[in-house]
Amino acid sequence: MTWVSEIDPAERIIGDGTKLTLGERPREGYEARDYKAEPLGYYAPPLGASERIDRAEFYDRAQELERGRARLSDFASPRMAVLNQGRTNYCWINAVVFGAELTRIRQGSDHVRLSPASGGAKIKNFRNVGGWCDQAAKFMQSRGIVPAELWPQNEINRRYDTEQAWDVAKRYQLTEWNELRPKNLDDLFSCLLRGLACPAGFSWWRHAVCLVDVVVFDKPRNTSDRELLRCFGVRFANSWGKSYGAQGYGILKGSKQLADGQLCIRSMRVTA
Amino acid sequence: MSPRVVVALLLIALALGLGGVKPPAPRYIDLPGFNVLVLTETSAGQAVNDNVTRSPLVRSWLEQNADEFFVWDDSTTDFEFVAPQWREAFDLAVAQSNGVRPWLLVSGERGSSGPLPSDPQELLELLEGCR
Repeated sequence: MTWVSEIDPAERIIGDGTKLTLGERPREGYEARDYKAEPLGYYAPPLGASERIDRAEFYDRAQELERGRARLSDFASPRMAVLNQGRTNYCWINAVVFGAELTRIRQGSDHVRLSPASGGAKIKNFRNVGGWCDQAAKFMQSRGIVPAELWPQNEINRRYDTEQAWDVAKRYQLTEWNELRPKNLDDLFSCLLRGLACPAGFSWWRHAVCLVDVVVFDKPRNTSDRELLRCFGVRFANSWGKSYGAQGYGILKGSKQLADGQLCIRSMRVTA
Repeated sequence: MSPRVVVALLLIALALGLGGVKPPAPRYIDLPGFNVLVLTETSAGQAVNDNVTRSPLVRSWLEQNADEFFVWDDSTTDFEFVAPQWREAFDLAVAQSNGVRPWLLVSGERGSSGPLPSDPQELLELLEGCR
């Protein structure tokens, strides 16, 4: 019998033809980056060709991770809750912050809840507007991000913008990340199957989430694009709190998993 | 020969290892307690498999038994926010591993420095043996 991924019945699956609920309808959060003005590599080095995993290995690697319960979602669930962006339009930085927190605990650091609003507000000059994940990652690489205990997660407020807060933020700097080619599953799956969190934005949804797992719906008969889309999907950690889907997680399948902007987080600054 | 001279000669002999005294065990991570470092490489995914570091069995064991444990990329260069001994341990792992990834360093008198086992049970046995 063909092995496929086990899926929690509560988990929200969005595929081609899925009607979005009222709460899922497009918001003002994710803005598509203009790749003509800012071509691939503008913010960070693109993922190297030699780092791509052969498509023929996707099925076996996904199975190995799921059977060993070593997927990022298995790892994150007992250790950290998904974020909740509240009334902010900062999904694009919530996605990166979730990936950063996850990367820190993967490295063995303690879990510290970080404040997406601290970075979002600084990048957007304290306006509650949309953006894209590369902006967030670039900022977090240079400045870090303030812990939520010093700057509440969704507070777009200058009173928290202190020198002390940004001094502490240096402990939470993103150190290595790569841009992934838009709508490219070879890049994306190669990172997810290595346990690297991948924040990604979707124009059809005007929303960004953090992708964490490759999900298998069927065993591919070949390595064509069509079979990839038919047989695989991606699990995402949303930023709408734990009440969304299964503890805040959902799955994108078919062409809905093709992100208009995506990146992988390789490492965070090492701290005890 | 006076007894004092005999004792002194015996002590010198012991110090030189003539009395069967073993050299001190290597200290792979020079910090008190039980500490573990895994050196990995997040880019060379074709060959490097560090899934075992996310295994629930291994993580819960480490969370219960290790004072500190880290899984760091071998390109790490900034150690400002960790004890200097971790920098030394990192450098030691880089030097001893000869490019093999992932590499495991375990502290203690029965510590270990070698390739990271890919099987969770095998890794747990190794860690238990080092405690």
